[in-house]
Order: sequence, then C-alpha cells, then structure tokens
Amino acid sequence: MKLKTIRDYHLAYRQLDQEPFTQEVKLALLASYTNDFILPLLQVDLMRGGIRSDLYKPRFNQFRQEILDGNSGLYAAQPDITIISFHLEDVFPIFETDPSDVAQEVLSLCESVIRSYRQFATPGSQLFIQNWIAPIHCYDPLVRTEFALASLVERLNRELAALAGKTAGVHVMDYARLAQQCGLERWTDARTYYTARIPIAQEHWIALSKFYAAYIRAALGMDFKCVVLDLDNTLWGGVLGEDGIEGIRLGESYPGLTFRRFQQYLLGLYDHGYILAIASKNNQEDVLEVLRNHPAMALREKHFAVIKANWHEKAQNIQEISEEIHLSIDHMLFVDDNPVEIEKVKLTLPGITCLQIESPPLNFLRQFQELRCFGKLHVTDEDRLRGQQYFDDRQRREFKQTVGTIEAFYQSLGQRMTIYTNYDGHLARIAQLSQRTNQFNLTTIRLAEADVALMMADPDYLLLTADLSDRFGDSGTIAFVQVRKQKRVWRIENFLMSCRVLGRTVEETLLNYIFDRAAAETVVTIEGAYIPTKKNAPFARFYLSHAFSPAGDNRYAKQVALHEPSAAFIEIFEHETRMENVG
Amino acid sequence: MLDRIRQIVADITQNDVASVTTDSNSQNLDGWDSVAQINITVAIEEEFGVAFSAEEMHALNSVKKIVDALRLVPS
Repeated sequence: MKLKTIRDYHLAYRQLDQEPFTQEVKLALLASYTNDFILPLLQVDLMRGGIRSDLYKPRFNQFRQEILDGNSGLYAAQPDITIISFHLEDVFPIFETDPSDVAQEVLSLCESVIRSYRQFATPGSQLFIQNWIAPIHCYDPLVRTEFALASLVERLNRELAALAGKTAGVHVMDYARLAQQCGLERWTDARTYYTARIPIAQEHWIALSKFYAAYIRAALGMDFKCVVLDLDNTLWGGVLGEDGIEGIRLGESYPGLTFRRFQQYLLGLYDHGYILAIASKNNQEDVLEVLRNHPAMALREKHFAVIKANWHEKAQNIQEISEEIHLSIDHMLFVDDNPVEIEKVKLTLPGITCLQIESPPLNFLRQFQELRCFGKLHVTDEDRLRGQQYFDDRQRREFKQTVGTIEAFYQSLGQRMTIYTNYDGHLARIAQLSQRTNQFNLTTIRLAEADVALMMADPDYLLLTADLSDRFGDSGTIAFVQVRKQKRVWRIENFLMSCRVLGRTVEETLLNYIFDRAAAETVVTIEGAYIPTKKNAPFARFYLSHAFSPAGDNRYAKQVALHEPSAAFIEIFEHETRMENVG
Repeated sequence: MLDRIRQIVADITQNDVASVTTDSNSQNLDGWDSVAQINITVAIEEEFGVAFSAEEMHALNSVKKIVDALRLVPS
C-alpha cells in the first residue's frame, strides 16, 4: 500500500503487527512540545524499512527531568536511540527578552544532557539532539542584526554541532534544514500550534517522520553501499550503440544538462564513500571510449568499482558485481530508466532495491531523497578514499589473472601492514567497520563509538587495527581485532576484516601477530569466538582451519606454544604511538 | 459521508468501526483523547478537503459535530 496521506499511515499502523521485520530498536522520544502525532507515522515508516520499534515517550516537557535523573523512566527503558527535540521558546522563557545570555544557557543545558546521557544510558546507546529554528513569533528584521533571534539560532546550531562532535554516539538531528527544505513559512500551522502545542504543520508530518526514520536507519548502520547504474538514457540521453559518442545527449543544454547534473550528484555520493558500478547492455569498448574521452562526462573510468557493459542479463551482471566486490545484494541500489529491466532484476534478485529513474532525469534529486537511504552520521577518512580503493582492487584483480600462482601473486603485491594498538584515532572507523562488515565478522557484535571508547580506556582490552597498502595503492584501515586479556588466556572477542581485502592473507598475518604478542607476555592459551550468522558462514571454520580446538559455546582454543606461523606475505609495521597496556 | 467519518474515527482511536456511531464523542469513546482529537480533525480535513478554524479543531469532539460542520461546508 502506498503511504501518501496521514490516513494511509493510520490504516497501516493498525496492521503493524502483521508486517515482517529484520531488526528491532528501542526508541525514546523526548520533546518540549506535543509530538504524539509523529509516533504512529514513525513506527510505520520504520517498519517499511524492516525495523520494528518500541517507543518510550514521557509526557511533554519532561525531558530535562528524564535525562538528568539516572533513576528516570528513560533509563529504565534502556533505549538504543534517544531523540531530544525541544523548542527554545518552550524551555527558555527568557528567550523573548534577553537573547544575549541565552546562548550560553542553551549550550550548558545541552552539555549536561550529553553528560548525563553518557553517564546513565546503556553503553552504545545513541543520542540525537534536534537543532533549532527561530521561534515563530520573533521579529526577523529585513537586514539581520547580530541580536536578531534568527542570528542567535544560527550560531547555536553551529555550536551544537561542534558540541555533539566531541562525544561518541551523540549526533545532531538537523531539524533546521528539514524546516528550510519544506519551507519555513508553512512549517508551522498556527491553529495546531496555539491549540495543541504542535509546532509542525500537518502537511509536513510525513516528511518529519521520514526524516526521523532516516536518522534512525543511519544510526543502525542501515545504508546502501553501492549504486549500480544503467548507461543509455540513465547516465546520458540516447543509445550509445545507435547514436555514437558524438550523438548521445550529455552537456550544457537540455536534455544533456540533466544527465550531467545527475552524474555530478553521483560524484557527490562517490566522494562520501558510496561505490559506483555499471551494469548496462552496451559494447565494453564503446563505453570505455565515452568514460575516457567524452568531454562532458562527470564520471570517469576511475569512479567505477566494476564495469559490466555486455549483453548478459543485468541480474547476472549485478550478481557478478556483488561477488567481485564482496558486497551483498541488499546493500545495493540498481538504477535504470527501463521498467522492464527493473522488473526482470527484481524477479531474479529479490533482495535488491531498484529505482526507475525518469529520463531525462529532471527530478533525480527528489527521487533519490525519497529513498532516504543514503545516510551516514560520520564520514570517515576511509569513506573519502573508498572509491579509489575499489578502483585499485579492480586493477589487482586484472593483475592476478596475469600472474601464475597464488603465492607469486601475493609476493608480487608487496603488501605492507601497519598495526595499531588501542589507537583512539581509529574510534570512528572501528565502529564503522563493526557496523558495515557482515562476511568476515566472526561474532557480528556491532559497536557504537561509545562502546569502543570504553574498551580503549580499559587496560584489559587490546584493540588492534590494521592498515594495508601494496603496489596498487592504499586500502586504508581494513581490520579490527578485539582481545580481552586475562593473565593466561587471551580471548579474541571480535575479529573482523573488510571484505575488500579477502584473499590477501590479512587474517593469517593478524593471527600470527596476536600469537607473537601473546607469547611475549607469557600467555598460555588463545581463545576465539565464532557466532554464526546468515552472512558469515564462509568463515565458520576459520579457527578450526588454524588448528584451534572446539572449546564449547561457540569458542575455540589453541595453546600459544603450539602455534606455527603460516607463510608471511605481508611486511608488518607497528604504529609508533603504540601504548603498552598496564597489567 | 457518515461512514467515512466513522471509519476515520475508528482508525485513529483504534476501535472497531461498528462501535463508532453518530453519538460517539470524546467522552464516551475509548482512545478519543486530545491527541486523537487533533489527528481526527486533521484526517477529516485531508479526507474531505476542508480547513477548520482553530476553534473548530478544538470543538469538533463528536461524530455528530463533525457531520454538522461538514454539512455547512459547500462542496
């Protein structure tokens, strides 16, 4: 059923119990105003994305008591995600008369909210603070003075962003931007504002619900990773095989400009760590010629992790792309202008999400925004490099085919690994790896930055991260191992590695390294845990194949003295700021 | 029109449509609280393409009053 009106949502809400879901989340919504209207909408929107939600919601304007008091219902409910939305005029009556001091008051309230939340909430629980728009009753001068409330609000929003950035697991929800996108003049409906203290006009309730849902999905790490693109009438106008490189529509005038802008948008996704690939029915040489030589292409050969331009079924090509870059179909978005192709792909690959793009793509922005599925709360250095790394991988795969044996391939790569110990510069990346990695992830324990920070400060934990590079380029930080140290036994509680570097002996190298360090600290036994999931089955025998013995309860054990290191194909460097743990 | 109103009220208050009658109001129907009140008037606006005043949003707290208000609106 399409969800277009509030009524559609209320109908869907009544059927909510019958919907399938893959994930559950406990949410707490704290507000200074009536936000009950959003609850059924949000639960429906989340369920559409496969998330079943439990909601905790105290009475309105209780948020300070709830969050500052460790014995409140909020903390008893143990939410995974808490969203605080307060309007300045509800909380600071003084806001009307004396704006200059208020900024500091607002920020110190936010500081104590963050501090209390980190102190009382379950580790790993995430907090969103909604930023602000100027109250509807404030005078906004034609030329904005420094003391106009609107200017103050802009400043507060900048400072809130800086404040949230300092604490792991705390994020800003950019309410001001949503209100602007929807149109500030119509954002509030005076009738519901004054009669029921609902500051958001009904026409925007659905947008607000989808906006919340997008942040929640992002917090849960539910994000597309790869966009697979058709070419003819998707990235350019016309059919390359018929019109030729001179004839396709792409450039600075209509309709070519729409395609060019669409490519520039995709380039923005690429820059933020999303992978691009091509699945199209064309001749490969023709496509490469356009990618290399067409003057108006914004996307070039190096932006694509895989290029499948041939006459096979697209579903087959997408399947092959998924295998080559080790990315499961449900993290992919397939974009094509042709409804027949889309239907065929959906039939063969039920897990994939498809977008039928208009051609020419005048409204690509709206079409992509409606998916609300490209969302990250942090963009790490890794994200910025990802595209280049996938391109390097493509070259590696081609190189591998020219080298005789697998050993010769490993040797000739010239791999170098830098290993970091409890390195806080990798906090965000560790959390991201634990959220994104599904295949080589031996326990699939998802970590939020706050969890990682806690362990890093704990002398009983050894947190290893590894960077890898070789003659083709730098793969960035690609592996994480979490070891709990006891006197005679080290337990590998978490071991995960980016699937991009599968088959490069990274896991063996790390295992050898752990055994070396354990031996140096006279540890007797190393234990590893493997918890099966749908996706990590290929590595079910990882510990067994490295001569560990089953030790019950998903655990495997091996005497340190019995470890024989496997052939080394990677040169190891230890990061120099390595901190030796005490004890 | 009455049936559409009853259905909306039933959906929002999470009641069976059979239990919503012309006489249902915020006093005698479970789930018709202040939040439902806003949701009902807003859903009625959406369904019938009308716009209520602030006073009406507050005052239209029974099926009968809603029916009467809609009859006054030229359609």
